[in-house]
Amino acid sequence: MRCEQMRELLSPYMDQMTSEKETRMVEAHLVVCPECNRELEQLQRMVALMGNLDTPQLPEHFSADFHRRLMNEQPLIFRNSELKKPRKQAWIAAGVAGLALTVGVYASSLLPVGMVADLWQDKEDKQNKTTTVAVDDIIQRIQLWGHQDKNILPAEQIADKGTTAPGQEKVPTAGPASNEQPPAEAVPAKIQIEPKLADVFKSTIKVDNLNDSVSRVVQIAEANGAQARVTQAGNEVQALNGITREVSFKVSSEQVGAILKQLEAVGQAGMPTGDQVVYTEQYSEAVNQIQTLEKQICELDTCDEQSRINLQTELQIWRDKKLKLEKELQMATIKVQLVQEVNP
Amino acid sequence: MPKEVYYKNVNDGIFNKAISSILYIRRSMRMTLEEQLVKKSLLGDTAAFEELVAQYQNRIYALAYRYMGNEEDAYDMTQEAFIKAFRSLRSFKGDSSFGTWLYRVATNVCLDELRKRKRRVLTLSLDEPLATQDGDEVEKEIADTSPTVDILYEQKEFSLYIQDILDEMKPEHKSAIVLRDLMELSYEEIAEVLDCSIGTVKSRLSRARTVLRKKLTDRELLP
Repeated sequence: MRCEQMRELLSPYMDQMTSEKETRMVEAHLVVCPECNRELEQLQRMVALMGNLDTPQLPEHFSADFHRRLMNEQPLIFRNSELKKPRKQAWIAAGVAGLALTVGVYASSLLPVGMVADLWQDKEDKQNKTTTVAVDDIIQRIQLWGHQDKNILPAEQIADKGTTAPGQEKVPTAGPASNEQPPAEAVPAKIQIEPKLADVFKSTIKVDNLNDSVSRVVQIAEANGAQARVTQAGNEVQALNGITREVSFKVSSEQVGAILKQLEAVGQAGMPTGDQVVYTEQYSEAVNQIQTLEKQICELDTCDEQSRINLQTELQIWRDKKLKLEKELQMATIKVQLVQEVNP
Repeated sequence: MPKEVYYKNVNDGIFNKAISSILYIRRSMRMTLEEQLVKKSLLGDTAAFEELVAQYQNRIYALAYRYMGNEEDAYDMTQEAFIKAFRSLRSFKGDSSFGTWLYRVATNVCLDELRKRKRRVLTLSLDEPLATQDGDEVEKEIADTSPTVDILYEQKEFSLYIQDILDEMKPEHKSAIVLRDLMELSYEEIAEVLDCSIGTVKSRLSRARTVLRKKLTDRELLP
């Protein structure tokens, strides 16, 4: 080997990153060439010097500075550390989550609840945005859906306030709209529950024939009692090299293992990845609303029949909502992305 | 290989992995503390994210310092990098380690900033004393070829000379040196940070070191 060829190899050789063949060649050459030996030594000395360099210390006020910057980021309502302040936080949380829940109620009158979460999930995936609780997303959805059923009074108020006042911490008007009580009335301390998450499993499968494979996956879904949804998923890198379709469906969690195995017969499957749909806020709010309403019903005048009926209607809505969420939480979503490569 | 056999071999392995995937997702005890913090941060837990920051801030600062060449910029870029990481946390897929992903975010933040500034002409007065980290000031030396370099092996001053040389280098060479010789990442980690193949890392690093060596020997900083 000539010295010029050695030049490129000395550096990886020093780091023990040369292949077996390259290593043998380098070592054979080093035996006979003092020049290259000198170069190698110089290289080693240089790297040793670099490794001994001091770097300046990070000033101590960094954490405080960063904390301030982080707090200026889009406010996250459900920060664990801030739930120690129940009053203001709970009102805003109640308002916002009431908003979210009512959106959910709207949605359930038109779409399966899960699709709301799915849409939300898709939107998050596509946009790679801030990891905020999806307050702004939900508000945007209200604007998209326009005016729906106007019979549910409190919800309408929320919708109106929602479109004019995005859920920033500083806006108090968004708070009390969720029920008609003035803020002065005691809000029971917010029940804290652990995160409620539904699993989402994603699998990418390379196939020879996209249409056939889509049909097969749909069949698998239906055979397991689920209804499949087929969309064109365009956010993965594989889409650059081929055409893709995404088939998604919901099954109960116990079925996931068997289904994933069935899916592997469809094509060349990559390792499944996991994700979650966050139902925590919605669930938490349902729990809190139910508690609030039950308490209000108890405190009612016995002859106030009209209010009792109203409250009980509302209570039933929240109970239904909670049940629906519980069902959702037992389901797992499977998203299969099928890729037919154009250039194999 | 016949298709059926291929699928069988692949599928058995993948099926087992799928099961582990499911168990992982069920947040079993096997999840490390760091993974827990990342998951919490994803759910909006800023306290958890700040814990992650605390674990990595010194390393990211060191990285930023070597890219930017001075402490003030390094400080700003470190903040920027962590904010950017927080905003784009969803795009962390877990296919690399969290630390490596952070290095990648920080590298991009620094290199982007350097690119922006490239247009602006930086004129430094040669009469201005150069501040060292102690707050002492040393006269800035113009590298000359006469052998008056006996003090140069004091680490602090040497660090400044190295930094000057690094600042002269092209971004791809600079990153290679910084990531390997200063931050001591493995070739695999560097490949992930720079989003390139290991082969590319090998050749970039080799060329970068050659450039560095020449500059050092020209200034007689390397025996």
